[in-house]
Amino acid sequence: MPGPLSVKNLSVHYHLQDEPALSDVSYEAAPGHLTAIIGPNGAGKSTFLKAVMGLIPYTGEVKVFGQPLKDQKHKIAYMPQRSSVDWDFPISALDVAAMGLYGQIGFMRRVTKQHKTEALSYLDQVDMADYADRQIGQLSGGQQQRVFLARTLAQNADLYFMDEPLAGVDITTEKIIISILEKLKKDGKTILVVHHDLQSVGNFFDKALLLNQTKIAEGPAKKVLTPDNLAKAYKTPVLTDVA
Amino acid sequence: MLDEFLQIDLPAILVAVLASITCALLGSFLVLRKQALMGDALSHVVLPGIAVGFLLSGHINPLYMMGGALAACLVSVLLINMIKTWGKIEPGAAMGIVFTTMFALGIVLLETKIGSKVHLDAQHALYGALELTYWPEPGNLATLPHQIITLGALLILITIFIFLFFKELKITSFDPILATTMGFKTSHMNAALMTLVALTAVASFEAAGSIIVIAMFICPAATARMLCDDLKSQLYVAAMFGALSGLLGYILAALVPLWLGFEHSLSASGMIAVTAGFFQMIAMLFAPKYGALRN
Repeated sequence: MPGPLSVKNLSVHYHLQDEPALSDVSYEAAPGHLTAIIGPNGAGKSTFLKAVMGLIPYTGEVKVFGQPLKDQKHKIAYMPQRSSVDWDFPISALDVAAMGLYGQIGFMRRVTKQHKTEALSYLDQVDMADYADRQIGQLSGGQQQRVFLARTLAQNADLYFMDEPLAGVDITTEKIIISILEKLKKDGKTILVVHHDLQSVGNFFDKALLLNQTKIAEGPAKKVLTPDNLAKAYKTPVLTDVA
Repeated sequence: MLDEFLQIDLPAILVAVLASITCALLGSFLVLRKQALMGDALSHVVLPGIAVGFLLSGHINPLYMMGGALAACLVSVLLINMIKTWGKIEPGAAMGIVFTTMFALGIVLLETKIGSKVHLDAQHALYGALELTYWPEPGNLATLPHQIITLGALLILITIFIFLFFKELKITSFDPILATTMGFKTSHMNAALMTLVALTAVASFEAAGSIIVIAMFICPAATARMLCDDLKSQLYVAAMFGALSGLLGYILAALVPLWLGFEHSLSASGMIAVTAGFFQMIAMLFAPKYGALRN
């Protein structure tokens, strides 16, 4: 059976930039595992997710469960960075969670009461059911992140992409997000998470993919996080040479 | 007195209210998608298209004008992409170049080719001719001014569009990236919306001038933004403030000065825009939840 995500020679070159954002990355996601994508700022972590989901142009090959992504959209779910949307948008927490069901509801079909009840159950899983009717701008950062997670759960996928879900959240939210990630893993889902905090990688994730423009290392989290690999990824900035 | 109202004021009010509601509905999406200036921009871009449509048909024919306007929009999109890529400048600047040039071209066409033949000139382009809307035989639908029919049809079309694609409009406005990963065609949705914006800009522009188009795409939507917490009420409230601005603005401009004994009435389009801006200011300051002076 083909793996959840197979990437071959993936390169991304942004318009008008000299250096490629990602160059020649090949990677097989470990099925049923919780993988952290790590690397310094600007290493191409979010770029990797965006390219894999076909949101930006790339060269190379991406297969999701053995097929091109466009035939497998129902099998993936994406949780973007919190800063990617306008939280002043006139929409309630329940509406946002229900958006996770839109792919399954389909084009031009209407959102029914049943869908709303289902969306509410996902809000409940992240302990946000009490805030269902709240306009999303009225929620704290951690609560907003949980609403995003509820929406991602509603997508009911087999392969999950999450961009910095743990960035800047409170302890309660962190606990809830981690427990949901583990539950997804227990259900046999494959989860790729862009993560910024090297300290906690080993605690939360069993696998890691270390990037800096190209693939530095991958494998069990503890084996990836060696001083050697980290030195390679987090190399001293060129500026210190000049000084 | 009543005849005069039915012949002159009623059709003008209908045009103003229909144009305002139509703009307010689409404007809500423009404001939420942070594309508010697209309404402004498109209402400029369409001018040369309207002029060419007029030259081809020889008289004021809404279908020719709308065709011309849509063609002008397409040309603009192509030009913007060309200037962006070849001129190596940011999209905002490329848009600025194209929109102003197109509008200037439209003015030149109006002044040189058309102005002498019919009442369609730069003045008309800005302020419109709301006061000139005339229903010769009130009650006889066959003589109903064509602006009312065009705007009415457009309003129905846009209402159906929003009703059918409400979910798609919501997700592509709030989170276009998620929408794309789910397989919704974000670019198609955007193109449909922009087409409707262009058609509305033409229809409202022909009936009431570009001032009203620019104001109505933004003000009622921004006013509703201060008062609403969900998309449905945003649309209803924006439409309501659009209608109210159209009605009140016309009365303040056309009727109140006469009641007060002045000889001349004011520009209806201008007063409608001012009224819409006034509502926006009040909402910004005093809206119960989001107003600057709330407590």
